[in-house]
Amino acid sequence: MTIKNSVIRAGQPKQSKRFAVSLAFATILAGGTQAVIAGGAVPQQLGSEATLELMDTPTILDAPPSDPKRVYLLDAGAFHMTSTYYTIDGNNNKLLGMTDAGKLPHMMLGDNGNFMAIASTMYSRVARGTRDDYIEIIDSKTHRPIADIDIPEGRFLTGVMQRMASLSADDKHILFQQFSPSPAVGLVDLEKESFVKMMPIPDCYHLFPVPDQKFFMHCRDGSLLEVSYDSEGKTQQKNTKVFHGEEDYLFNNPAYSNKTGHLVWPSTSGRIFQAKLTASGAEFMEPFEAFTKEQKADMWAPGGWQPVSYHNDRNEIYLLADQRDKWTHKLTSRYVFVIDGTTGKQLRRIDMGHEINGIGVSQDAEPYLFASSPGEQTLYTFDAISGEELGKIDELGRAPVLIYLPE
Amino acid sequence: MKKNKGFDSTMEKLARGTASKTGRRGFIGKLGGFIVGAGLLPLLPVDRRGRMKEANATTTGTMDRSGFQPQDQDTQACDYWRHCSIDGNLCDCCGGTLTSCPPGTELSPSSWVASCYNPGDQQTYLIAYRDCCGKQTCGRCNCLNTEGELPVYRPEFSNDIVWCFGANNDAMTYHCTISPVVGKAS
Repeated sequence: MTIKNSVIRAGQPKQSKRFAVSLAFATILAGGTQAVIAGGAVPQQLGSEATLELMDTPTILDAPPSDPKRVYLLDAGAFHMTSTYYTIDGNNNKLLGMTDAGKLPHMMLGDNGNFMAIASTMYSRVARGTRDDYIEIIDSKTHRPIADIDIPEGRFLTGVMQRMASLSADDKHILFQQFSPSPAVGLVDLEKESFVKMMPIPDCYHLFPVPDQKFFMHCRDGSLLEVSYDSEGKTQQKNTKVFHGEEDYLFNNPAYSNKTGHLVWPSTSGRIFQAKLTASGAEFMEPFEAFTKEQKADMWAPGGWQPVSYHNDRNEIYLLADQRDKWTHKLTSRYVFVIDGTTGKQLRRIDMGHEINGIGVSQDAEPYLFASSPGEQTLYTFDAISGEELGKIDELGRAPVLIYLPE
Repeated sequence: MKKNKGFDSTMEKLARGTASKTGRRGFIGKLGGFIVGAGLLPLLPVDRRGRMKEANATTTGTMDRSGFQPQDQDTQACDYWRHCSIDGNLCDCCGGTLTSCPPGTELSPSSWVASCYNPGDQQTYLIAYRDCCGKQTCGRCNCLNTEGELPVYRPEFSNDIVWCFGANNDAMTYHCTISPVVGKAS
């Protein structure tokens, strides 16, 4: 999708429309002789000192163009009603700006990071009242909304999972998951900036788009569901083979590239499943164990909320891990194991020295590893090759976890 | 009247001994010092941090990488046995109880389940966690327990879902979680 130089139009929130009508009515009543009673007007009771001309010239900045080390860090709190995306220049740990979102939002980076689509949920009375789901398209330079698309109130509200909403491989559509009252995937046409249809699906989760208006989902039985859809939301569906066992519990946040179709999905015991997804189907790679028998005996296992990242060109899997008991798979870890994506060989181990819950590796030739610590409200930066800690940025909200990086 | 010669003679000896070693003025002076000192005691600086801690209790019993170690004494601690698979806030700390929602919230009719071991009677019970909905996240007693917790594609065992489905649609937001027992797991 190409970002249009448009104002907000389709699906403008109902509350805004009602507010505008009320405001116009109030203005007419006032006969135009009084200042409009609204949040934006300068209070008349202020003295002239408050509006003096300045010698300095205040401006509003734009963020620089997105690059591979642009980091978006989500702080959704702990199931709180509002969330914040921090835009960070990972080259120098500088905060560039912020974007507000509602409850348990989903961000999707499109057009090489030139825009972000954020699916949100808000309520008319903070935590109750009329639910309103919507998708905002935000320009990643100005950080201003350039489109606002109303969608049905069906977003699946969970602890934040990256793959519960996704841009299509060509950035022309947005897909989002519904759980209740019945499983479905919502289809949004980005070029028309409008919702199309809820497409019924079976008991499957996560969204992995491939070209030609197709996507894959992961089903309860351990297979993938291959779905093709047309512009009206009519689908054709079929299951792949079962690629993992019932006892292989896969993490909620796998690594997937919309560009390459490469899926890396670790189990909580450290078994690595991979697949190459294309419009032609799913090609599963032979799974391997991330840890040796000796390491497993020493209780090494992956753990964290966003425990895996993958560098496309280097074919390296970055796995967040620590020595841990069983059933502690969502707790923080202090180490990252870098593993060859083909052989499964451990290439290096990065001792981060911090309690980390989410990781992401930049896709450039000299990659950085970014690591989030919700307990410290801090994002750490490491050289992904040497493992050296390069910097950090702190005071990032309440509990920032999920890291988003452009491809 | 029964005579208690032993007690009388003991008290007599004590009084005479005190009188022979202590002057009247010295005794009155020490007594006065004691009374004044006792009166000043509340004015002295006292370390009240313990009481403050009690008033603003922090989350206790938080699980670490060594796993869930259940206890059966403190229901407001994360390691209380019924909470073995809660990822959220204990309603017991938010105006509710182990089995009741706080005032003004809505009880979700749907739940996720887990088998939790009670060290008190050494039995395992099936717990059907219910979310209390319709208010902002409580924030107190925030626990991350994952004993037997499964990924989202096994939703009936997943504690990452906002389980407010079926509650009044006005109340689809998460506030806290209660831990009612369904029965023995085995």
